[in-house]
Amino acid sequence: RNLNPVIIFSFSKKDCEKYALDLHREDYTDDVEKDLIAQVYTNAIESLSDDDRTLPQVVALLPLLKRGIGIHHGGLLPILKEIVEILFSEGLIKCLFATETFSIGINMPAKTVVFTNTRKWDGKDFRWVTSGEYIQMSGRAGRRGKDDRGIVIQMVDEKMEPAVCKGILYGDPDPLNSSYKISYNMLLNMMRVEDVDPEYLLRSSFHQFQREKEVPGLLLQAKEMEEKAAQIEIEDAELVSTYYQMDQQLVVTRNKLMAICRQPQYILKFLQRSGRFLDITIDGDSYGWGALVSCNNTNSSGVGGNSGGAAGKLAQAAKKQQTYTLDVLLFCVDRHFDKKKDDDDVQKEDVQNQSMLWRGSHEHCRPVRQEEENGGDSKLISMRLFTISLDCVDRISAVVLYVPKDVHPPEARKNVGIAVKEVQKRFPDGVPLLDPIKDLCVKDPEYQLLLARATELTTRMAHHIESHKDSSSSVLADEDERTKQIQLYQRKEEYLKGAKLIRAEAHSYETIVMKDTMKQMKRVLKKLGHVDAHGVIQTKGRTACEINTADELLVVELMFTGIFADLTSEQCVALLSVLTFDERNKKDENDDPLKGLKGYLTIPYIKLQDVARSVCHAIQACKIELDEDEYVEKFNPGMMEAVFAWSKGAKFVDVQKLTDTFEGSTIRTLRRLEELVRQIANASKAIGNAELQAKMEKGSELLKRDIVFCSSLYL
Amino acid sequence: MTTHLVVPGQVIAEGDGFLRGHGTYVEILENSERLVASVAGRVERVNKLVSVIPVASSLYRGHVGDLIVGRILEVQTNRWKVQISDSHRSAQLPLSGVHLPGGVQRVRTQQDSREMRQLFHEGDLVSAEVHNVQSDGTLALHTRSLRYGKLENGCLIIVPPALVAKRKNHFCEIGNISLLLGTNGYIWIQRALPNLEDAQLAEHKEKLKKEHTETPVLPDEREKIARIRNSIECLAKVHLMVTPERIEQVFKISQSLRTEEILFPDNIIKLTRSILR
Repeated sequence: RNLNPVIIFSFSKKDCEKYALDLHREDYTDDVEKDLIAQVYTNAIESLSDDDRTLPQVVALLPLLKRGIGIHHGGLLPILKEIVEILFSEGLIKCLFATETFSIGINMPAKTVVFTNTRKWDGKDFRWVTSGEYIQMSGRAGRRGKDDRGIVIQMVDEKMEPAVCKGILYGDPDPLNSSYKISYNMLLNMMRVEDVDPEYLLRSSFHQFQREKEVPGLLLQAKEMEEKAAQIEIEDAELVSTYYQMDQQLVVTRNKLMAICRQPQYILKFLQRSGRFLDITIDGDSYGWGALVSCNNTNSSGVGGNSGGAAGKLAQAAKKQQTYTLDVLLFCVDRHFDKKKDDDDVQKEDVQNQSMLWRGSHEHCRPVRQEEENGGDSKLISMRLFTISLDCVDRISAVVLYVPKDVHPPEARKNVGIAVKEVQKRFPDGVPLLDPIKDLCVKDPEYQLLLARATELTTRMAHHIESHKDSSSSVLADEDERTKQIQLYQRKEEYLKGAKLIRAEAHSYETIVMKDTMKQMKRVLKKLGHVDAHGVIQTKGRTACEINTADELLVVELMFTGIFADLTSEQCVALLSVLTFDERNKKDENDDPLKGLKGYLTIPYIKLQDVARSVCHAIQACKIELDEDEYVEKFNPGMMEAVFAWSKGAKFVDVQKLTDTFEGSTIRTLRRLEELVRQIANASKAIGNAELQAKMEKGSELLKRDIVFCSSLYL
Repeated sequence: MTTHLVVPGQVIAEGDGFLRGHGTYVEILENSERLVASVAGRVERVNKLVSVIPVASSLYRGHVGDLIVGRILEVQTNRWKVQISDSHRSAQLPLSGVHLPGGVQRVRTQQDSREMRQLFHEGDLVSAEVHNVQSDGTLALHTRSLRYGKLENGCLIIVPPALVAKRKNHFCEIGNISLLLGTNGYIWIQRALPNLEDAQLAEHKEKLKKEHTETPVLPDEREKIARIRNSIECLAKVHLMVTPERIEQVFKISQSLRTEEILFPDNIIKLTRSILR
């Protein structure tokens, strides 16, 4: 149907290459085009040295290109990327496998665009594509002047809610939110000049403007809530309020009691048997009684390894403790049914199908409401398996049910549901609970204190009711009336509290964004000696102004503690590579990053870690929140060996073998590193240390070689 | 806090574990290294970096962001040469770095090049800020703020640059006289300008400045200016750091003398005795 040229977008570099190789038997070009492609290619790689022409990536790409198939992603060598772009814009490549980066920027429209996946990994979740990203990538389809229309093909591998799909296809582009922030370098440059006001800069920023724009909307919301609160009238407000306060305190005390009971050391042995009867609350919504299926131990801490000396031990000690998750069967209703019920037929089908779904989550399901249990909507109720943490357990019962091993089939779950109902029927006064003192053996002294407080509160509340029963028209006398008034009061309180929160938020929006952060940052600079107590910039600060490629605070500390004095140029360059190497190897997270590194590289690295820790402590001392381990782990020594080899004169092929990353990332790291080294050379000239300057200049020369610094084809 | 003063040739530190900074050199002996001073001055230690800041020289090195006062030496195509110290190395003030009249922002045309002399001509005093320091040490200046520009109707006094420390605010006021402490040692004294902050528009500010220039200075203002000038010279003669607080102190104590008597040697010692203590 002549849909080419086509771009096929994947969300990972590896997928791109896999798909391209899968097509290795296809051929889309004729002889004339093959010659043209070969010509363009040879012209382009003429600027490379002989060794670089034999790099695996360079050699492997040509046969693919000749057949009209191309690959484009961030891991390729920059020169190869440019070749692919040029060939694609000439129309010599019919089918291109690319990642998202191709969708931004360069003018490369195609006739058809294919999406291989609807979910992507954004570092935290495996989430659906957002509408903004969709618009960006699908916008590539259709060349102006050549095509009547562009064609977008979306591959869908899994069940997608129609609402989600609509959101992606018809949604708005991503909103333009300013994330303006001030770095230490910026702050120092401003403090250098007399009478410059960083606050003025922040006040006039777009970020501030956007926040201030939201304020009227927020104030309106707050006002509405306050009006709603004012509409609720409560009789005998004082009495109700005192009763309510006591009730709240009782709830808080009970929660604390339960929290102590929930600690693994007490509760775990009762959760080993499947079928334990549990009362579950997830995110404030009470699901009622359910049955335990299994208890799993998820060890979230890495094994850590036996290395790194002091650094490793500190890291291990700070690692999180073991966490447990429970699999429980609970009654619930799919939230899907809460949405507008359009079609009756669709509804019936959904009801029939929904019993097939055996897994539930708080996102998709909600607890059963009173009306549904007794009314005609009882078909909507199903029993599903939830995975929850220990914190969701409200109460543990002494009762243990029989639960089959496999809970996937609907009959098994229905049987368990029947059993749960049966138990509740047999104990109309409340299911028997496990006693914390006798069964769980809670020995915490705090527990006794809390228990005493709880009993005290209950007696006071009863007394309160008693004392006011005598007054004739008291609301508290009648129990039903009392509960009603308390509910109203609760609602009023919630409105008022919500309004207060919104007003506080609006107020915070009006103050300058980052004002507090800036004060804290100034304090950090004073503490580290970049400026003196009066705010006049010092030698250290002037040096930090020269560095903007990497963490300026750390680089300046490294320079002034003389770490570079004992190292050769090659070692210095290898050490600085940890500051510019950003990528994380997902598979190696539990391995020791220092494994395999020689001594002359590990020792400077450990010194760098110590300096980083001292910087981190200075920052934390000024009340800026910074996670020490996260900060230190940012400096990844994965490229140290490769960079050392490169600076010693090794060929790019050999250097690439020493690291796991793609070639493109290696090149990016080396280029950024060269810039950093140049900046440090300038800075050391300013402080008058000629040795460091000479060392850095030599390092820069060692790096600038061959394919890493070959010029762009466009220039 | 004691200051560690050294003379050229004096050993500052022995062994290794220090980084060499300005004003020092490393002497390598048989089995150890020594850090020796090459100029006379104060020792500054920042972590491991040891450098000597010269106190006696009249050499002004210049850092980005410093406020200086200079005299126009030459008018060249598209830039002015500005004298900022006794040494024959002058600073450069490019045409693109000055404020055009009216506050207008545009690319400088050939017309502007030809009319440079109308903005500043030879012999004028200007206040400017260091924009950057080139690789050979030449300073590039700019006057792109209404606080900087031509200085008129006042008095200039030159002190050694080492006596003027970099502060947060180089504009200061004593009574109704304003001072401008240039980091290169050139200090400008004039009658206080009306508050420029109230005037919002550039034209308004320039009008105020022009009024100030054209109004002649009254005799008692002249006397005050002269007295302050002599106070500063007192401080310079005994090699004390020139700060607004000290100038004010000397100014107050000197009220008992006549202005011209301030510079007699006995009086100098008397006036500065309280500060030295």
